[in-house]
Amino acid sequence: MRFELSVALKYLLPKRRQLSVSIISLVSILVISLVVWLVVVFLSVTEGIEKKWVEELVALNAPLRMTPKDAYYHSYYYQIDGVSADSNYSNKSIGEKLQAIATNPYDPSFDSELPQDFPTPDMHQDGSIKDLVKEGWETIFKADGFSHLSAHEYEVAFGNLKLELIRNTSPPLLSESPKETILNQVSYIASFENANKRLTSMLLPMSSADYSNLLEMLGKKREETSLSFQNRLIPFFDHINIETFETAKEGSLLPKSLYPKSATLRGVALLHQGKILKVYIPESIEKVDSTAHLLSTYGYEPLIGDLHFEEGSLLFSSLKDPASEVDSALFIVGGVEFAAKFLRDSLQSAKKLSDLQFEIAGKIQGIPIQGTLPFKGFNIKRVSSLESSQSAPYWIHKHAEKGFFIPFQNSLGEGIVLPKSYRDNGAHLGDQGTISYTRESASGFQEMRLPIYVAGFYDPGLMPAGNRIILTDPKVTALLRTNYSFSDGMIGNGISIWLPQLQDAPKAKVAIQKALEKNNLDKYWKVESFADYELTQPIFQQLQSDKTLFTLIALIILIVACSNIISMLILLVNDKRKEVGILQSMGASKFRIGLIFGMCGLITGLFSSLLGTLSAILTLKYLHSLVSLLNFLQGHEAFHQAFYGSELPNSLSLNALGFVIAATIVISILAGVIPAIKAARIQPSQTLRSE
Amino acid sequence: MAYENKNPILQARELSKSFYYPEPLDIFKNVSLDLHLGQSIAIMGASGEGKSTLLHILGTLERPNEGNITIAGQPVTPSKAAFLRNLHIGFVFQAFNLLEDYSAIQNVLMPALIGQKPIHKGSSAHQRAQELLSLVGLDSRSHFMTKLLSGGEKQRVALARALCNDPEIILADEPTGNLDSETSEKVHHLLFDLTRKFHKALVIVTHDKELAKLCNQVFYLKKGKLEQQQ
Repeated sequence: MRFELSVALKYLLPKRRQLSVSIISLVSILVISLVVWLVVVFLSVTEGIEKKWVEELVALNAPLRMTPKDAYYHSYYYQIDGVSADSNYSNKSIGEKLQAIATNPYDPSFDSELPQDFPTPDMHQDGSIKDLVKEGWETIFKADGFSHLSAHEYEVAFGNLKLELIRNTSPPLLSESPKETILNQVSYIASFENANKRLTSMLLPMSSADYSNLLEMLGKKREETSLSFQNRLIPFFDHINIETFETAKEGSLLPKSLYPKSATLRGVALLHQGKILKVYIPESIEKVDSTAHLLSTYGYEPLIGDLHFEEGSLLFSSLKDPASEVDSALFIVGGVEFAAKFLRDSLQSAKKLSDLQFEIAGKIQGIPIQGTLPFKGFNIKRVSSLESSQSAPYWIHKHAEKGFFIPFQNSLGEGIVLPKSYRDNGAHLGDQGTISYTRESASGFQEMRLPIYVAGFYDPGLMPAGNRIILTDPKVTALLRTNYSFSDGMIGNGISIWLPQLQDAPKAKVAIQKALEKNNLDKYWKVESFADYELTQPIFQQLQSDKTLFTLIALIILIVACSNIISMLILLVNDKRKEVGILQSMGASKFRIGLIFGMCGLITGLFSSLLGTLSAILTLKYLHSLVSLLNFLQGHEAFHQAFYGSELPNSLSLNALGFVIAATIVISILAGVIPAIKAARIQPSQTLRSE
Repeated sequence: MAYENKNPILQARELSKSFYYPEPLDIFKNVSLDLHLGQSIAIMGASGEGKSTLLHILGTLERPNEGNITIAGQPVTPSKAAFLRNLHIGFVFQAFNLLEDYSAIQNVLMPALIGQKPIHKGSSAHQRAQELLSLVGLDSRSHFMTKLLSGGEKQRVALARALCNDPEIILADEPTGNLDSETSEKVHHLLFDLTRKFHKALVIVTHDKELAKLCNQVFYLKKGKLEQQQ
């Protein structure tokens, strides 16, 4: 091959007297490089996006699920609990079956006789009844080649969520009673799986508005709880340290005692029949006029003036009125931030939120203000978290050993974690409400209401119906459980199976299926991987179709680009007829002559692939710059965050690279075949004679 | 002749060649020839009699319509032709037929490269190429690109190239046809000196009677027959 390679390389070097061949050769290389670059960049980014989407799509569900088939629900093993006193005459869930001591709770001497059409039990050869759940559960861990699987029971129920949002809707500077709005939605209630490692990235951080709202809700008197105000608030302050406050939009009360004695502050007085009702003190002098203007638009009569102490009295002086004593309340307005320190002792005797005392420090119109202030008309601005083992926090939190926990059965009700869309609609941490569900009783169906509160938010990503999935503690889903005869594939009880690598799920599924077949349990259990889930299946199929379509398009573009090689090589063969004759006279066979031109095609393809790949690597490295340029050129965000995330994935896809390089090489070799045959057919005697 | 009792290095039997396009034409018929090591043969004849065609057939570059050739005891078949050509035959053409993008030494080494021999500096092929270039008086120009050489120099490079693989047979087609008389004479002497020195069999196709006289035997190709001049 040394001879063929050295001659091929010699032929491919651009030469002045082979200008046409050199130009076509250069164009071929550029076009193929461009296509390789485009395909590698596009496939790398799409593969990254697909990976991210796949992770988001399965973020709420385990990558594998094992669910009972109809045969399970019709089996003796499942049905027998309904007629056994030992099982309290109710069917058991998977988790309950796992914990049950007896496989067969039926006692013929005590329980009523079984009807004739009652299913017969599935027995082992030794005559014992098969424990379909425990044996199914154990089979998971017998799957060949998958030793790191973990399994948990999961349950999805449904109920109607009713959330009460109590919000201050009053316009700025005015104080009106809070208004209540209701959010109502029939939702899936899914048991929260703390084995879900992706959950950390799904959970949304709490905002200061969340903490403000939670504190507000905890401060309200509740009839359904016997807990004192102090006991309700202790867990909050055990875990949250309020660092700064911000004045509320209606203004925050400033006690006269805190007014700096030697300072003059400019304010806007609200007059009624010539008497000062309130004095607003804006955070800066520049905002005085706008505050006065806003008040006048409400129909009030604002008066701008200066506040100062004189002989122990606070006076308001304006052009209209030289000095009036201020008896009314002072309000700080304009979002002033104060450093705050909670005086925990004030909690002991507090009966309402405004009894809580904070030591504050800040500036108004450049004048320092410091002192102790009640919690009234302030919003929490900045907090830091505190570690405490004294109480459990009111929000979703991570336990050092057991993973994430959703609080349940506390003074606010059962904690639920809501999808992001609820937050977008104004829900905050601490908002309360109910989940209503129906319970079958002796007198028929009865509507039940379970008090709940918002304990956190998560981002369901692209998960279809994700906006309707509410996460709760498994004990809550167990409470909401009804019968499972719904046609809705989301609702049900089963086993979630986790494995370290998401992409191994389809193989693990097959391994578990085989293990089930081996133990004759396959008629009772169905194993699905994330690609099979009813909700995600269409999306995965669509992703696959898109990828196939683009791969086909990429292949066609590559074929067109590589077809340039044919033209280039045919020109080269014509140009080198004499040299081919000379080489043949020295003993080069027709095959080896053909090989030279085949190699010319291959080298062109390889070189182009290399050039395209290097460009692609550089492009991916500086992808953010390219995206910024696209954003600038389009005048808006080129890739919407909701779909593509905050940054486009930019890791090189080895699959894409492998595909493109292999395709380019194969097509280049094929492109070299025709010119190679043409070269091999050159008759040396003719070309040498023609000289 | 002293060759008669020895095995010929090249044996051609009953060679016939015809062309069918644009109209049927018999070039020669039933031509037989034996070539021995150390022997030199000149083939003369008028233009268009088929001398070069016969030379190409003898050198396995072209196939006869009938007849067969044996080189070094091996019959020439289409699959073996290139191999036998590389190993046993060196060509010298009227138009030199050097590879223009290569240097003189690269041209000389090309048959060795085709024969898959090592050609790096210090290899036996490289040493031989340098020796040959020295023998043809071009050792100082071994790295010159051949397009920069004169006609006589080019033909000397071609001669060195023909001898590179140490073939037993040298086939020369009007080797000095493109050279002036003074240069031609030098090349003639070089050609004969080297073939004698290395004990090669030489076939020359020429119109030059003086050159033909230097050969052991002179054949005439006339009206499709090859006849030896007595």
